[in-house]
Amino acid sequence: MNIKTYITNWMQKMIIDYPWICFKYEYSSKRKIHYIGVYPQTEVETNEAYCKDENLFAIDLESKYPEQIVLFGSDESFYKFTDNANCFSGCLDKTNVNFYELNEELNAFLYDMDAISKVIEKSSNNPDYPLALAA
Amino acid sequence: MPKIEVKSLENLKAAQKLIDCGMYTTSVHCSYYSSFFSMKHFLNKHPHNSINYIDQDNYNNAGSHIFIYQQVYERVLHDSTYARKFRTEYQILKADRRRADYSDEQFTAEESLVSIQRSKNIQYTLNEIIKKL
Repeated sequence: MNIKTYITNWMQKMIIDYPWICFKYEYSSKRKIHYIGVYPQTEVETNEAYCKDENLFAIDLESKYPEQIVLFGSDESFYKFTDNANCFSGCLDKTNVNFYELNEELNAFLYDMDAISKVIEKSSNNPDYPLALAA
Repeated sequence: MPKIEVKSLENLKAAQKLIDCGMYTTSVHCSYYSSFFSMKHFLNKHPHNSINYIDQDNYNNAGSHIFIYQQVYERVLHDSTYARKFRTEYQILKADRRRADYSDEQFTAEESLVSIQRSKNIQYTLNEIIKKL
């Protein structure tokens, strides 16, 4: 089995065991390095069961593919994944969305709701305030 | 203070000074060696399963870094979260050091600062593990 398939199979198993996890995987042919991003950072770094699984998998990889370099990371500066990166998530159907992007969408949504609330409040305080603006 | 520990600290200071001078790529080399010396120090002072510097130096060949890493990793694996932190930070820093030393890539100031932080993270993690033993 080639290493890409081996890594992919492992990630697919992990998202079943840990449905909250998102993976990004990309092989850089220029650097000859396999990059595996694991998110969200805080949850990953504090989950003992997941950390143990990843530690054991890293040992397994070094044993099976000693010539290959596989890097795991969770911080933003770890590696700039391109749009070609493969994404795996246990809780999302959209394969190209990770938790960070999801949170951004959620924050934007809350911000919009806040703005709308203010406009509605203004309109209710002032009967002359054009309701069209609130819409 | 043991000489190896001094070397670790000096490399960390050198990494910062090189960034101050605009030598970002070379700085990564020092960040890596700072963590490497701290790993040797960790093995030497491990309370239950130490390897002294002389025995460590018996592996002073092309595989010496792998040997030191594997020995440290075995001694931190009992704590899964610290072990992951140590492994990921070390492997990334090692790959960055290789790129800095052997490729034609240039590192930015930000990337070099991240390397210093990774080196500090490794040393912090090893210190925390020693404290718990």
